[in-house]
Amino acid sequence: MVLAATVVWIVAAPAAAQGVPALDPSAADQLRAALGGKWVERQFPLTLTSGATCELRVWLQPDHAAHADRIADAAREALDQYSAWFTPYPYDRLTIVDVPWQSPEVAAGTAGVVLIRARWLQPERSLTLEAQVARGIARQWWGTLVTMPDRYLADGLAEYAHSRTLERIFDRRHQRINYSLLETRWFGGLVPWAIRAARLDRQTTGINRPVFRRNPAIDLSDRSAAARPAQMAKSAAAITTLERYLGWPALQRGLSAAARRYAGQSMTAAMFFEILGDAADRELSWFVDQAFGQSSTYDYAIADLTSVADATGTCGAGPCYRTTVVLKRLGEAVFAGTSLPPVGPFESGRALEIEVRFADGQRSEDHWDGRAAEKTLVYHGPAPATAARIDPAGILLLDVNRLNNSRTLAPASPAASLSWSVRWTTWLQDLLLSSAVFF
Amino acid sequence: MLTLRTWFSGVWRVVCAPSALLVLYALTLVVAVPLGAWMQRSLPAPGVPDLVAANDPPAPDIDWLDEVFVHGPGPARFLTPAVFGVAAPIGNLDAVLDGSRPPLPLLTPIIVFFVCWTAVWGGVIARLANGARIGARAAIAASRQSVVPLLVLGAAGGIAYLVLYLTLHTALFGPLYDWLIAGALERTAFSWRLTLTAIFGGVLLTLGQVLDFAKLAIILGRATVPQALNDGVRLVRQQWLAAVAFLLFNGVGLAVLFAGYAASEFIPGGSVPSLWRLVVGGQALILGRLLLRLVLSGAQVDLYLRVRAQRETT
Repeated sequence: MVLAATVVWIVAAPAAAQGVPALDPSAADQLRAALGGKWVERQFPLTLTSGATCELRVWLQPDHAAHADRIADAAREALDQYSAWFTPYPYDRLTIVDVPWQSPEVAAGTAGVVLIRARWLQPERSLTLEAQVARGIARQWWGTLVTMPDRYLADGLAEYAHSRTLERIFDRRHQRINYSLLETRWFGGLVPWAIRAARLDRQTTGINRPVFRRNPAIDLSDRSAAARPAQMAKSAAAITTLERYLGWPALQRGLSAAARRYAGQSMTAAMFFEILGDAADRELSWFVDQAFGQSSTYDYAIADLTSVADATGTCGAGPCYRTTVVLKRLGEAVFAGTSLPPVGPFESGRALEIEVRFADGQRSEDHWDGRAAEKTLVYHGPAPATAARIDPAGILLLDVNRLNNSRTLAPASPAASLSWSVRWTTWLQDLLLSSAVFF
Repeated sequence: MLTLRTWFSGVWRVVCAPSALLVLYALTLVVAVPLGAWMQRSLPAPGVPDLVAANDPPAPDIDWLDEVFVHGPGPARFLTPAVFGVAAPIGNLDAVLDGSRPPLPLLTPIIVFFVCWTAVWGGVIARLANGARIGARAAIAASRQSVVPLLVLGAAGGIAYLVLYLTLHTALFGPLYDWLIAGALERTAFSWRLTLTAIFGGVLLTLGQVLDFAKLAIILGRATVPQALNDGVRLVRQQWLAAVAFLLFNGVGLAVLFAGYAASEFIPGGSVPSLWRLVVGGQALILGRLLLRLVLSGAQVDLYLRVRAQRETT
């Protein structure tokens, strides 16, 4: 990864980080004065892995003083990682301001100032506090060091970057590769509980995929505040899709090149994707235009799977089965893998993988350019199919419905559904008894 | 002293009547298990394993759960993270205090459960009051005799609760709470919410006690609904100390039960338990809650009988 990053540095980002926005040393103090109230100050001299030092100041609400060490730990991790992935942190100080918990919205902060909104009670295994710190620090690069007129892209990059950092923090603290535990809040949102069984994953909940799932066709050009969470989630899902498609080293090269090239300058989405494509040595307009340029949605499905004995089949000695897999594109967007058009009957692109499993343990792997509304694959073999999946590796995180991505002929193991239904039945019994308060 | 004696007597009445516990437990199963089985059949295949980090044992896939919630068929859409461990009972209790109703389709099993509960409640109370076995026929007769007035009382109680939520709850947790916590620290807001919850909970539980004693008057005193309500109010007013103490004991019992259930998550393997642990732990919780409910009713029965005996002697 280090070698690759060096290559990009030479090829795509010749300019040093110049014109870095000036740090206003009084910005945090002015903000505190504007917000009013009492504050607790803590200072942490940080030494990053690279040897660089940074003076961290944390301004906290009086009832949040106990969170100072957690905030400092998250800040150290975020500064360390982002400095390694993007460019070194351009300032020698960072101030984190914990705005009052009832503030309607946490703004993006300014150069050297990160705003968070901590809560009084924060379970140790739920990293919602660390998420705010990591997200805010990511904005020091995306939106501050590199000014970005396309708000959704800055938000998406910060969301994506923070999810990677949180995974590292959770791993370091709990020896598990997760993003966080699911946090639920009771008593008007004042009492939290981290559900130990509900471990969250970076590439799904970590990039707020539930929000994207509910708003897959959000218009990225909408400037309203209400649209922002969904835009951020869609943008982060698209960037994570790029990570899964190109690989992290290629994406990291692109991010590093963009941060270095446009430090202190304005970078549009078009500029970002151009430099990303150069760094990955791939042409990406086939994806970028649809994922970021339109409100269309991706939805691929296995529409049908049949496997029948075929007396006329040519499988040699023994039985022969004819397996038919029908693939459908239900959304308007196409995940092809290239912008080159198909030539005659030949597809162009192989971004979508189709996996078919057979009863004798064999496994077939095919590819599809995903352009046609429907495609049928036919297999002849000595065993019937048991299951078919489209995009089995889950690369296309923008697929709005992944429940229709697989189909199975063999009876599925009841273990998972049984444990879910047992949990739900117990919950329902308890709901009945809670309602019995009124009987 | 009388309160404690009455409460222990209530406990003893329940210990001597395991059939009452079993009947109510069977009711929860009869209503919930068919829906659980329907839920199991409707659940789609689990999610894409590659998206979820490898854990041993495999943890539930929360993204798949959300996918099912949004795109899943039929009852699968009622599956939410609220079902996990101790979050389930506390979440349900919080919903009661918060005045948030369950999804509309789930009101149907709740109403069915209310009707079934009311139908057997006469027999359950008769059994607790008798202190010894009364036989199925006598229990059914007691239930049959009281079911209609109990349903009427339940409907009247339902309206009273609704009015309480629409007026007092809305006022306390709406403008008043917002005004109290404006600009306050979160821990101050917590104190205010605790205070308001105590006020609302106190009124809610007082109404519940009145209705409980009214039910006893219907079942054991053969009173009409208005008479029973009158008896209930009088009894709670005269014996308010005992009534409060019963609720406190019950609250402590519930807290211990929830704490035990929560602690089971911290036993190795408890955060992602095996199927048998899920079943045993969950059903132990349900039985524990039913037991607490019956102990409260047993103590109320004992108090009601003592007061009635005193009144008859004077």
